[in-house]
Amino acid sequence: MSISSKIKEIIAETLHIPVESVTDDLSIGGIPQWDSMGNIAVIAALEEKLDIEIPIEDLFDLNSVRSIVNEIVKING
Amino acid sequence: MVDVSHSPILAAIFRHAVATPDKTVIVTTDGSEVSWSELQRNIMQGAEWLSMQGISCGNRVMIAAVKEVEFIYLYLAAHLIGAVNVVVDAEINTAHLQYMTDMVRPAISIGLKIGGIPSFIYSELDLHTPADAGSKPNEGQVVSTKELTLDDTADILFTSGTTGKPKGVLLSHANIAVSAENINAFIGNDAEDVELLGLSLYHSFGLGRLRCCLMAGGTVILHNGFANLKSVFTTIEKYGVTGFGMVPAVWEYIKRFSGTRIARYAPQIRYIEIGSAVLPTEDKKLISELFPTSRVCMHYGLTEASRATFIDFHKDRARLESVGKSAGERVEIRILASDGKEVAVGETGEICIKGDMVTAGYLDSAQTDEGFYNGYFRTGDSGYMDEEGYLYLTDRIKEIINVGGNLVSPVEIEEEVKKISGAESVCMAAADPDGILGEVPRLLILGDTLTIDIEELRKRLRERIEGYKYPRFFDIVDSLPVTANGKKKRIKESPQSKP
Repeated sequence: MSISSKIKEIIAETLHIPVESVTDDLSIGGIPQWDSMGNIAVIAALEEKLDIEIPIEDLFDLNSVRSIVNEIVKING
Repeated sequence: MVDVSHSPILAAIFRHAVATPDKTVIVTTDGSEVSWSELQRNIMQGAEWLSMQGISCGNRVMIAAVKEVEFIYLYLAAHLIGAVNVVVDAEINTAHLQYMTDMVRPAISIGLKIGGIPSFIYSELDLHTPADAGSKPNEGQVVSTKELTLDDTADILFTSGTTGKPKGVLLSHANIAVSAENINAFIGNDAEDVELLGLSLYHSFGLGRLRCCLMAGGTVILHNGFANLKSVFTTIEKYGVTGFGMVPAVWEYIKRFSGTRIARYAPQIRYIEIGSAVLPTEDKKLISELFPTSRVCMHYGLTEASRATFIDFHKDRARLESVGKSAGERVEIRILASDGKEVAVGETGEICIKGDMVTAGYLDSAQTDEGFYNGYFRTGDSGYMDEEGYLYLTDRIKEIINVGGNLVSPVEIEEEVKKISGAESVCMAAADPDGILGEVPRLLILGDTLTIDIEELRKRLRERIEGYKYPRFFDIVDSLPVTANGKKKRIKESPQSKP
């Protein structure tokens, strides 16, 4: 499974939404489930399940699925 | 002219539509702009549309509050014809929707499909009728079947009850208008204001902010929450936003995800209104420092008694531990003992409120009887007042969990657990380990009574209740905490288990 697919699976599972609805263009806040509390849960789940730590200074720039994937690819080098 | 004397909010909108017809009143989430004259016309068209569906004065309109202009048009259109809005969350769970439907027996449902009730989802709506061919609203088509008054019910909002069943709060046209007037007078909102509205509109706080802006003649920028802070900040810049409302959990989120960079907008922010949950004093000081010239206010109130007190973080800097003073001359706060008598200054009792913004009662008259002491609404919160009239909260009498401004009934969770698994349980408030929400639900389950696997219980419970109600902690215990009288003891305790 690609890292992008894994990230989308974690987002879908955390927000209790179908994985098909987690597209690259889906923005944070773009669906009711991905509100600020949902976003905290998503970031925590990604960090725990992928064993990474997203730098606090980068959190502000994450605004869509695509930007989250890019950030995690960057972290994983 | 259409008579709107029953609704000061509609009267204000119609005045603004005459005075500033081309000025923008609403910017939608996709960037479309609506002028005051368009707003008035669309309210009129919405009223015609509702009338064509057979809706008239006194009928109840179940309406899902979403960040769409059609919601705003139809919400206000219902007021115009004297119908009663039953405002609900679009993400409401099926069981609650059915309960509310049985309680209110709506004549129509907007934004939610309900079996047996004429239902329209927003994407299907076309409020335009053949009579709209001209640009002027066809006022003659809006029929009122009786003379409406300020005391007629405008909205029904459901709030969590301690019995596990939501309570339907009746709010009159006078209630919602007086509340808006009190808020605008305290904060100083006027027609020059541009508000970023990220709060949920199904909450008393968010819907109240919308009405405040409409009363004051300002501009509302609809925004899908605060999760996407980059978009929030871009919107503040793009539209010259002058103010916004937020709950403490959002403030915590802003700090965590963007540090203090929101302070760069301090020079343009005239006001911030905070409410719905407790904000730590150190955060009050921090916000004051970041916004040194803004009017930063926090209210205390409930759906039943909107904005009973206000505190100004700058002017009341020496009283930041309090929730402020009465919101105005028309609001009376009393601290009453369990016998309904007023206690002395500095003594603790139940906070009770009287004022024109206070509900006349609930859908269920028995709940109304229990909810008042001699005309004073019982908040279920205990506190005391000092000699200067500042109110201090000390505890909660009602067994309700406040999850970041969303109220959760422990009884509702316990009943769902029983239905799913047969298990006896106690749900109580625990401190949010993430420090965001203030409180979160914690569930203690009596191990001997659990008939299914705990993971299965978690999964099925998650499917049946809204996300914010879902317990953050599940603990299997040998015995449940009980009071000396043998009742379930739902005191707040520190979590023992891992989330």
